[in-house]
Amino acid sequence: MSAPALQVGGLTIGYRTATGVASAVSEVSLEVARGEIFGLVGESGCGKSTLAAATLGMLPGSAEVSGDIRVAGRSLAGMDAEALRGMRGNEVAIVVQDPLTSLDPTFSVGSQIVETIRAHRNVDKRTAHARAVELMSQVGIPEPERRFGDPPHRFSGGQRQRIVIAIALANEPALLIADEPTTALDVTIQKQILGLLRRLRDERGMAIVLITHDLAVVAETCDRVGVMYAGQLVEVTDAAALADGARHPYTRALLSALPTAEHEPGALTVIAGEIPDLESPPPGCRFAPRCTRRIDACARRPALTGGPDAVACWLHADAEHPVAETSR
Amino acid sequence: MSAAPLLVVQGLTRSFGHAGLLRRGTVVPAVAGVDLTVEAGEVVSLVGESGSGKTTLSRCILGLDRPSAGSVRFDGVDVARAGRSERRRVLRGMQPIFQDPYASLDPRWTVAQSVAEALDAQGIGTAATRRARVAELLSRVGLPARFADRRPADLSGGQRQRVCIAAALAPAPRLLVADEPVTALDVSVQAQVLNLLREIQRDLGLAILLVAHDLGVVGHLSDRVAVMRAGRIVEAGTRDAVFDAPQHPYTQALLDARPRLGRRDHAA
Repeated sequence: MSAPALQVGGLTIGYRTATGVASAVSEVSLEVARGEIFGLVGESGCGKSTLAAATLGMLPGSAEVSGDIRVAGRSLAGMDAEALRGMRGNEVAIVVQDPLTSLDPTFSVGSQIVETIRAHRNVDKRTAHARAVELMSQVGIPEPERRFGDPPHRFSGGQRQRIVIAIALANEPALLIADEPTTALDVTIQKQILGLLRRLRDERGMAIVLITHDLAVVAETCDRVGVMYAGQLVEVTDAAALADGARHPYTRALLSALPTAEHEPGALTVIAGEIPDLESPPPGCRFAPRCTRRIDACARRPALTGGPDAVACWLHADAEHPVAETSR
Repeated sequence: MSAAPLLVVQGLTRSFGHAGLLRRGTVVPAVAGVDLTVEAGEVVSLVGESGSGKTTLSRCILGLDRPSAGSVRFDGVDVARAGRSERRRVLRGMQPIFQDPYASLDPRWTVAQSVAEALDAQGIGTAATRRARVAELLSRVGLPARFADRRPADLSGGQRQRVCIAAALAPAPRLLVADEPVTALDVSVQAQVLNLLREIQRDLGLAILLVAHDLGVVGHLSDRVAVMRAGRIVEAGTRDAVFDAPQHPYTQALLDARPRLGRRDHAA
């Protein structure tokens, strides 16, 4: 078929600050196939939201960007503001954590879906109305025709997130960026929304990048997962096998830090030290200063290699997948 | 154990009335007839989704909110019926820890001032013994002594929550009431704070009433679990009973809905 939904090549993003440049994303390359759900996980400040903003062409003016981003084959580099606006909502759309920030409280949800459709498509109001009702039905709003005129506050938190998803789907994007879409929701509602995202992917063949801090959500929902630490993509692996298959010491440490009801309540494994200052990150692997398995080679940056299960770690450099060094 | 439990909540109800403006005098009980006990040194968790009443219940227990009916007995004393000085003495024995360490600390105060506040306010000890106690508390929660002069803006989220825990420990309480204490923290920091809570609970023989929505956190820390829905406790039991053999359909739905990694055997 056509080009992958998302291709990111050698992406590096720095934010100019009063004292220097904070390296928010460093040499990240990844590819998300059409119809794939790709999880992007990591802790605060790891760069996952910066990466999402870059994909939407929505970085602030203080950002310095190099590298390439292609959405459905089209490079964002060189697009002007108008072209970016046209692409957003059309080829790529976003769903964020708090549906209230995405919805206008003073307009009916139906009119907000109609507005999104008509911003990108030259269709009459009646057609757009019918399409909006159909979208509301597809995301699981009961009696969509009757609820069309209701303002956002008449809906529950889970239903509002469904409306936001309907707006994101309005123009059939090839790629949906979902940034912590269920973090504000109760666990039973979260399950419904994640199920809805999977169903929409199955029905539409749309790719989804699911950004979350929750490893269990990723393991249950995604096809593959990318793990970020301090701006570096350290591992890409099969999501269902995350618990057993993850190889990077940071991913393993995160997994053992998770409290669960299943294992005996011993002390949780903690990661010593703190996230590095991104204005002067450690050379080489940025996790190295906190890594219990650090070796001399870690002062140089390992490339992310190894095919579909890729890891950026000198411990996993072997003959089959020789690790090439990348420049920093 | 023959002694009475440390905390006994009986028939606690908290209703929020609407005085006839919009809903013609309807009364919505946020907590309806809850019975709950916490033994000395025990970790009991209240779980439930938003609006289940778990935070309202914990606020009534702490004396931050007034029950409409029912009683809270701490250390054998009925908190609502106690005289002012006895009430103050009793309430000192239970200390809160909140979700947001950013909101719980006064940004103008140093760490030492925040931790000493409880001691100063209650006139416990002399200035010198209070200073020594603050140093001891900071070390207890794993903060280096040099942190005493820092302000909240200079601390990470995990460090701030440690300061809040140190402040809660200052009056030597017997019960911590922790409302979503690690919800705002990243996974690796969350693990540090959970380990700290467990450590102080064991070392000091503290009881903890944990209010949380994360079943992993609850399962990790609790001896007993009470599941709340719509203001009532629908199921209560030991951790293993509730997690391994849930009886109430709502508990089953909650456990079923939580995302899971699959096999839980992931030693690094």
